[in-house]
Amino acid sequence: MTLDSHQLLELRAGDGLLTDAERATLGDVLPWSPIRAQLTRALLPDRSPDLARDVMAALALDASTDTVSDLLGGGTHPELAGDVLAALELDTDTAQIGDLLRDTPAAPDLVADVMAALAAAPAATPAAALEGEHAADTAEALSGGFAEEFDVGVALRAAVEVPDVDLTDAVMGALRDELDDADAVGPTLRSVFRAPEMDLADDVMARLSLATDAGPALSPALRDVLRAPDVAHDPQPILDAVGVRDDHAELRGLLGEALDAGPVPDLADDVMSALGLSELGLSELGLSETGVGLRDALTPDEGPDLWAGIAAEIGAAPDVEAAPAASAEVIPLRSSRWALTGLALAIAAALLLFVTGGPIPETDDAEVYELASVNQVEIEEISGDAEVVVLQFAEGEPTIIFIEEEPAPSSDSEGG
Amino acid sequence: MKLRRLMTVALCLGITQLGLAHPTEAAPLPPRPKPIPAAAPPRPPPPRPPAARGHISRSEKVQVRVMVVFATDSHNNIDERLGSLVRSLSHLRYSGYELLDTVTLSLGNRGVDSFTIVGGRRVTVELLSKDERRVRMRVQIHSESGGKLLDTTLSCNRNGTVIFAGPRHKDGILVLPLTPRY
Repeated sequence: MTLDSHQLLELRAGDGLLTDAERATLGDVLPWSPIRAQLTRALLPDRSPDLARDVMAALALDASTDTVSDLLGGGTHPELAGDVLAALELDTDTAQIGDLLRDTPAAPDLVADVMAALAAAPAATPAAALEGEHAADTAEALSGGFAEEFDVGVALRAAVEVPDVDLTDAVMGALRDELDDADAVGPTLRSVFRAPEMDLADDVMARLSLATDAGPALSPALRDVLRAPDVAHDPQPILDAVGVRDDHAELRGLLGEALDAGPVPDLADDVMSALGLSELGLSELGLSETGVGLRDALTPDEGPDLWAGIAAEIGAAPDVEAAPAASAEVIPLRSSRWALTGLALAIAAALLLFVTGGPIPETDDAEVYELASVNQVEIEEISGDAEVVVLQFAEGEPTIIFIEEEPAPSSDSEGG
Repeated sequence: MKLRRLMTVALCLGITQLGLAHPTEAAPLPPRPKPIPAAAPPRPPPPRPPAARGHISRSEKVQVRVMVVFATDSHNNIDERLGSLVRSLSHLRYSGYELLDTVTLSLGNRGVDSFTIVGGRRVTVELLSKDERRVRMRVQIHSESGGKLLDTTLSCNRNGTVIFAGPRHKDGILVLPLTPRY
């Protein structure tokens, strides 16, 4: 189902926005119920499960897009966008909102409305509280009213966007209750950076985790949940679409690297997730000045200043290049950067072995390993200084004898 | 932390532990093995069976192949030479697996050989016996400082594989799949 121009006029009429000419076109048989109720009811999934997507498609493609966008949120009825999204949320997951955002060129104003509705929560956060040493405290203060992942989202956003903040302290502060348990950190971060192809988050988090002493402990958990498949594509259209300014060299480079390894269609979700918004309960949100401001920052006219606009609205300085030096130094390493060095080291090592005649084990590296169908191991005795766990995950699969190398306090343990 | 993750995975799969506390010679694997931390008090090793049980001849050496695999989260590359072993390695829940080295020891009856892996650790394999279906081995792993990380005596079916994992290396661990081939 799609909306035609007649239905759109009806919608405008429902909110009392018809011109005389339009009223003459439609006649006097229109329902005058509040348009919010109409839309919300029409989009309820138990009535028309597929209607929401169709409506949005129509909004994105119809010639009356501008009118409808104005109606939905262009300052006249900003709360309506929230209703539409709330209705959508009942029927879809954020992937559909991502689909919607990917239609940016067709319906830029609508995207702005969506973002505005989604951006309400950050408005509740004083911009100053997201800066510096207060970032973690802000996250903590927000914990009573929002989902746990939002705390992390706020801190991460603050950490990424605020050049003067101690980035890792903010993140670590948000995660401090979970740092001892990687299994707990992972799901939380996954909910913050929702998309599995969250390469942007991967890069950002890599920077954060590597910039701290706690990074090595945190990194495995992060990478478990944030790793993205290697899907090569041209990042330039996306960079253009999100309007990254040329003078934002570092952010541009970061995005480019992220997009080198991530699929294009998920960028919209990534952007939303990176802002910590996609997991919020939309029904709990309302528009605010910051939400409207963020929407405005995303309008086509302001497109080139997208990131600067977002940063300004959430209280972050827009000058990405002013980020601390420590952050700039921990951009994830790329293999090409080390290719020549690695080659030189490999040659040197080979020469050293050749000259010294060092032991060279008998190898058959070229052979591809084929596991036997039966791998039956019986352990008669086992001991050692390390803690040992014996695992078998399925009958016939190889037994795994796992050694925890760090010795226990009573180092002479034996196990089976 | 990784150990705890492994234990969680194993427990979630509802697998029961091998019967290490009660050494058996031919008992089939329990249907639902689960991990059991090594916390039992030390006990004297049981007497080893006589070597004659193995029926090994001088010309029938066992080729004990040990792969040295680096499991890491720093990338998601998986060495294609690991072949079907990858499925088993995936239980360790790392994203990348690099084959650093493959060492093949040719061992006759009571033969002992050792080699050094990254980090200065020394792996020693002793062939205790073998028959048509199974081989008994003693495997020891010593740290660079000489400490005994592991000392185990086990039997494995012909061409079967047992995996030793856990020694730390860089930001990951080393995994040593061991396969006696004959």
